[in-house]
Amino acid sequence: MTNATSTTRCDEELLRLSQSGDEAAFAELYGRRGAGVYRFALQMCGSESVAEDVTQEVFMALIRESALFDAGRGALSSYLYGIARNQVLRRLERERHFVALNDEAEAWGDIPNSEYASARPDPLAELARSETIESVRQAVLSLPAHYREVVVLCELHETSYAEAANILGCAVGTVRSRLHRARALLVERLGAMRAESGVEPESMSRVRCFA
Amino acid sequence: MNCREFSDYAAELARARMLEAAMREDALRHAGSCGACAARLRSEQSLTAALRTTAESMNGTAAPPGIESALMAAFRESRDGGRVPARASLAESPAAARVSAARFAGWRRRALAASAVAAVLLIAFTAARRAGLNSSPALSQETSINSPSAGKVETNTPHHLANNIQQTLTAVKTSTGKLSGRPDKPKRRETAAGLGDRERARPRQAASFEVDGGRAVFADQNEVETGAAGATGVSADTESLTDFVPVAAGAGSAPLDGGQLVRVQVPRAALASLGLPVDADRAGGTVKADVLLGHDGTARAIRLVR
Repeated sequence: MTNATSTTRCDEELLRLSQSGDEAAFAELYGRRGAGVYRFALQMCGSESVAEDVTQEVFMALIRESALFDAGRGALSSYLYGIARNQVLRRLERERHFVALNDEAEAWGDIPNSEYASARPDPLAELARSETIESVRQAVLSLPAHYREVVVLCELHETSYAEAANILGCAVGTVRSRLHRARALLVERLGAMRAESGVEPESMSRVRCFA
Repeated sequence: MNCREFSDYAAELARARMLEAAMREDALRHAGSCGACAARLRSEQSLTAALRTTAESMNGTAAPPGIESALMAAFRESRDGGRVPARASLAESPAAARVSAARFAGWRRRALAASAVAAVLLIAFTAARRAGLNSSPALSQETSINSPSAGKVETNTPHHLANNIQQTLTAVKTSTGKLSGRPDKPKRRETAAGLGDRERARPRQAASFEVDGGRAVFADQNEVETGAAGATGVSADTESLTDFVPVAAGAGSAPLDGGQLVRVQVPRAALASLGLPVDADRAGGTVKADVLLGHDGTARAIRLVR
């Protein structure tokens, strides 16, 4: 999660202006934070449609209930991610009763693959890169939700432990330990994927040391 | 630093996160002398690189423009003093439409299967009742718990009409679309305004009804029409209902000229015993169902509630 630098106005100032009816401020706030919220939801659930729903819900909540935001409890971005997280978890709980659709499962990798295919000259490197992204995508989505969210926040969104703890409503130590465990699971699963695909999983294998 | 301690810092080292200088040097020194920990560090670095590649690949990913347009419209409406549009009125992407359709189809299949099984259960219940049982303890208990108005909402049946429940159901469906008063497809809405709040289904009450000219008229005078939520005290916003499945009560059933709609709980175990897939973790639980009872107390139709 990076701080926006395109304007001098902070998120909280934009929110205050939005509350007073400033449409441009709301548009700027969405432009600043909407993509991050969307990506967070997409990375958490792997579904474009759910990510779109979640993004809508987050900013609809901001329209309707912006007074609930308390700047003393954390940054607006954390507040938005927190709403997104609640929405995603609620949907994940609901969606587990439904069968996943194949076309949805492809959503995460579509955009980057096509973008980089034209931008990068080395097809082999691009292939490896695409495979890596796809493997990571699958591995992240296979994690239990409480591990997945720390990976998405701390690794994919570069959120600090403190910010993540604020978003998740837990202690910093909890974030750290979950991330530690989540990374171990990712190494394990990526190693297994590579082994299945015939690639020597040397670099991704789980290494145990008892010295 | 030993290997266990190294393990605690390997990820931080690989992620190039801030570490105390002395600790970092200790960790690197240990990795230099321990092959396993060196491999562990390489593994963590490889994972970090893969995660960063993945994160970079999505840097340009954003929600479709339609989302912003819908949000801006909602913002303007809210600012101008209007009611903030419901979630459903916002943009729906083609992907969302595909998923919704597929989910609905899957829901329907499951609901139909469950309805069929529930109907069999009701047949068995009815048969037992007719065989001399005054009542089913389980049903009576659930009725008294979940139907606060049960027993006091008997209809003042005018006694015109109706041949049997099947004809009634058919007539009602033909003229008004649905007997249950629910829309054409199950609602799966949520209270967007209540982020963080749990969705709660409102307590369901029993409702009496009469049959009048092919329409079911409930005791509170609400005619059951398509989309007329609340005819039975049900919050259509929070529940999904299957169609009513007529229960073949057998020959000689009294014509349906009124009765009660009561909510009951059907044991999952009973569903499982009939071969219906049941979540093993929740096998001990029950599923909700609405049962249409005639004045003679026999079950005439059932629908499942979700």
